[in-house]
Amino acid sequence: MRRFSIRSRTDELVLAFIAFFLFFVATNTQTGWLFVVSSLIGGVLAVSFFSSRATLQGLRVRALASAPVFAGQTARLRLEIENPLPRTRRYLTVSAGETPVLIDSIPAWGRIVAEVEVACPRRGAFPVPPIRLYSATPFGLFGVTRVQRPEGELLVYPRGPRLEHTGLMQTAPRRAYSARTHNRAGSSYDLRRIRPYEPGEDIRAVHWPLTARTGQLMIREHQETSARRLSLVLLNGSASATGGEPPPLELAVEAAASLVELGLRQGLAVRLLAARRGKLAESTGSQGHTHFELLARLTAEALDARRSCAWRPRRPSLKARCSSWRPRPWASQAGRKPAANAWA
Amino acid sequence: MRLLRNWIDFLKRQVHPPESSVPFRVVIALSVLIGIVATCHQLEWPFYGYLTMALTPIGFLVSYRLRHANTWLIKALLSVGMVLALLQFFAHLRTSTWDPRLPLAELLLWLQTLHSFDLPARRDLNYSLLVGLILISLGAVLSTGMGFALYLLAFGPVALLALHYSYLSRLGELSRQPPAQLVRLSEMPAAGLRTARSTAGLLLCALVIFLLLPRYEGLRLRALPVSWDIQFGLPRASQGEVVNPSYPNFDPSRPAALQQDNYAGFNPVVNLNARGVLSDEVVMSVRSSDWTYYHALAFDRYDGRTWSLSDNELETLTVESPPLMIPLEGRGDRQIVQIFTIQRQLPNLIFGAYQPYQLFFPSTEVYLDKNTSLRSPFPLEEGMTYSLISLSPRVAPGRLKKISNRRTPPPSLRPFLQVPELSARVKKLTHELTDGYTSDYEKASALCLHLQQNYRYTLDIPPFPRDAEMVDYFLFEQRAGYCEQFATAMTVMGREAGIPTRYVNGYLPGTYNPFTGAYEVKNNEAHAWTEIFIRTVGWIAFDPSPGFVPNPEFEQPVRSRWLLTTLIDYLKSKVSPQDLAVLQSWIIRLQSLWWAGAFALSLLGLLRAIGWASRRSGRLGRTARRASRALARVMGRGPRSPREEVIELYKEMEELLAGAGRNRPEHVTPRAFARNLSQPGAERLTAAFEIARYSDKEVNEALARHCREALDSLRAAISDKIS
Repeated sequence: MRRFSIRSRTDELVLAFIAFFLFFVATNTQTGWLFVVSSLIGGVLAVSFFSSRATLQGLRVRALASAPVFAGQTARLRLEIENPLPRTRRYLTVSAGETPVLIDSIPAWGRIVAEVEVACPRRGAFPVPPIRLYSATPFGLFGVTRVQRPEGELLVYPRGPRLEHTGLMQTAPRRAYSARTHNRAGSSYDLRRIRPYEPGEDIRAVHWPLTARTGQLMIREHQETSARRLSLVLLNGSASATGGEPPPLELAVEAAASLVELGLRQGLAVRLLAARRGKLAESTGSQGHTHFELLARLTAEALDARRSCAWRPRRPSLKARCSSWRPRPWASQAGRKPAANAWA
Repeated sequence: MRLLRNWIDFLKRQVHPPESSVPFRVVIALSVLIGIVATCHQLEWPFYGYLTMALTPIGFLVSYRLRHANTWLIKALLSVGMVLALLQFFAHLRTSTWDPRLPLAELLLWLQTLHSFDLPARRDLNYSLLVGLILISLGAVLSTGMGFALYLLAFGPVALLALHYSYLSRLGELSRQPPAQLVRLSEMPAAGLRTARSTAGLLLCALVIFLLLPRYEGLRLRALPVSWDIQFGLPRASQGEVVNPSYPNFDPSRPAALQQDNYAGFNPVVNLNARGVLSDEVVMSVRSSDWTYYHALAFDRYDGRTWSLSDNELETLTVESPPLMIPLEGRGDRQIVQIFTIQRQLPNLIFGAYQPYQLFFPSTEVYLDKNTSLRSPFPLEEGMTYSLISLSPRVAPGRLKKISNRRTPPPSLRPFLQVPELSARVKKLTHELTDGYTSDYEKASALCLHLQQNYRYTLDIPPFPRDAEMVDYFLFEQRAGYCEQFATAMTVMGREAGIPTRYVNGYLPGTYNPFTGAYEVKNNEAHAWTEIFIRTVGWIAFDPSPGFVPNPEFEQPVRSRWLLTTLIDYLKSKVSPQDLAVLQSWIIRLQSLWWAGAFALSLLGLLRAIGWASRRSGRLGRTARRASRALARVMGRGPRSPREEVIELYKEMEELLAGAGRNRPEHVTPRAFARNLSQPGAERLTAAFEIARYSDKEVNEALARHCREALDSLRAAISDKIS
């Protein structure tokens, strides 16, 4: 319930003052009609006090499944409000912290579904925020707020900066050379386009004839036509995971989200690995939801949880490998540190 | 210059969003107009009232049209107008210091009218509603009749609808989604109907509060006299002599035939042989700070059959503007403020509590006789209002008992000791009653008590015989009479005991109307009583009539602090004794039924509780459940929801089938059980039961109805099979 404050009860106080003043004048001048007016104002206050509370009495709020959103977006939370009593409820609002939604009426023994907006600044799997029902029916006086905490979860995906080009993804041409050199079966590369060179990219992919013609370093961008994968390993542990602003873990998760998004955009089969509840959690496939959900639910793992992990991550970091073969199962290689050149 | 620029910047600021709801504006305008009309009606329709009534709707229209515009110039002009109205208020206040309500009402009306031209936002409209409430309250203060109820009846629902719309507007602003009722005029009836339901509850609450409001006897602050309709220049009809319109050809030498519409005692001579019954209509309403008798005429000369004035000389009191000051003849400790509104034409007697001090009257001159009775130059006409401030002596009876009269009264009191020749038995009785006391107050009290306790009050007495002395005949032969006989007897006996006394007539205090706050005085409440003179104090009233307050000065009936009893008294006064007897007999009859009703209700409640418990525990079986359902049907409530009803119906079906020898084993699901039954009705009911019991899908009334039909068909099928 909303706390009492003079500012929030100005209208009621003004009316109560008028009622008392009229009673005072009526007593002094023996004007009977002023007693009547004073009583009517008292009646308005009494009816408002009870009516606004009766409007919210017994209402039950249930959170329906809502679509996940990316951090920074506003989620539209679907709520089912049930009226278990044999009287129609009118004119109330429901909100989850943002702009309240007006509900004209809830029929007797009926239910309605309302969509409220929830600001989601951070990624994570959050319980449904407290839902505030407000009513001052019918006269706008003695407004009352009831807070309900329906069960449910609101999933907020992480969102990193949108990546267009990255050297990481340009490991493909090198692999392409390698594949050609080593004649590995199971993968092939087609020229996708020729574009200006960006620092960090493999110098062997430079298109020298075009560079010579244009006077600007141009590079071949290849497209993997089969079995290209992006493997990401997120080391989400250490005591310093929550230090700094933003915390290192959040930075790592955002980076992973950006890479996943880019990888999916480029048609790679993305595989994401991270520690979760002391075990290795993995998400694979070309559907972004599985990866983003894993990223949304990631937390800094506690020490005992880290002990059960195959590797002992020291600080949150992101290891990514873009390859054309299936990476080795790290989890099965207890205590073995991945090769340094495998991480970008 | 800088100040002006700041002011214009202030006016240009638009803090609140404009309000676009037409219905909201319409109801606010209506409430304000009702307030204006109510006030103007009580102010006798002044010219500026018509002007404000015409300008206010125009103002609302203009402010609606310009709600989005920056109307700083209009605001500036309105500010100037308001300052002018305020100056006018102060000017009027200076000239009419005795009643600031008139200039205040004018100021409020002008402020509201000007304000109506600048109502862009909801907050401004709410202020208008507040001003409407203040105007209606002002009208209530000025009102003196029950007719004001009509204005309240009109204002109340409109103001409540306006409050409702204000709330909807706030919700619309919060949720950025205005409710339909706020947007469309066509939705107004629905909103009105919805508000009417709340209004019913509100009226109930208001009635309870109204009945429980304590009624203190004022804070002894001086009430404001009413004088707005003082109209000087009414045609003069008298030079001070008493003019009673019901007795145009009054001849003091002949007994007057009593007219039903006016008391015959309001004449220069009171004929004690006049008989008749006065009508029951209200002649005036009095807003009074105290419960008092209303003094009209006092007589000093008694000739055995009539009362008259020994000295008809009058003093003319003139004044240029109210109030008119009246010289006091005794102590004045207690101030009594009374406002009289005449409901029907009355004689030219200015009624009021003894002793008058300040008079606000629509005449520049009034007349004062030797017995401090005031007379007007014209009869009191219907609708006339005047105010009187009286100063009454306030001395404790214990102290009065210690004051004894001088043996030789001053010459001015001699007329009040004059008595005709009395019979020996009257003298004997008087001395028997009074000789044991030393003070006049005690003697008068003894006489009053004797008369009240030993004689019967009745209006139905024959005229006195021609040769009889009235006091003697009344005291020893007839032993019954009405106020005139009692007052005469006490006055004469008091004089015989050596107390200066006078015969006074006027009106009783009347019945307090809890709505108007005024005492309603009826024509048949004309009354006569006695006043005795006590040295250093003045005239003290005694009422020797049985059933009346013996000493109205000191023994005022305690008006209940709570309105309920006052209201019952008022309603009693409106119902005739015959109707009251019929009502009481009905109440007695209903009392016998009351216990039966309470018993039946208790029984039903018990059955209902058993049913509820059985549903919860499932132990008491179907009998209690059936009884509970039957009870629910009788009480018209039914199961709580369609979902619960469907579940109940399924349980009923199981009981029905169990009665027919088809029990559902615990390991069999309802669906499998229904399938084995091969009854379409059972399958339908089971499917509905599964939805109601195990799913979140909505269960509506239609589904419950289908289930009832299915159960009926199943019941019919089973009974067919059995038969």
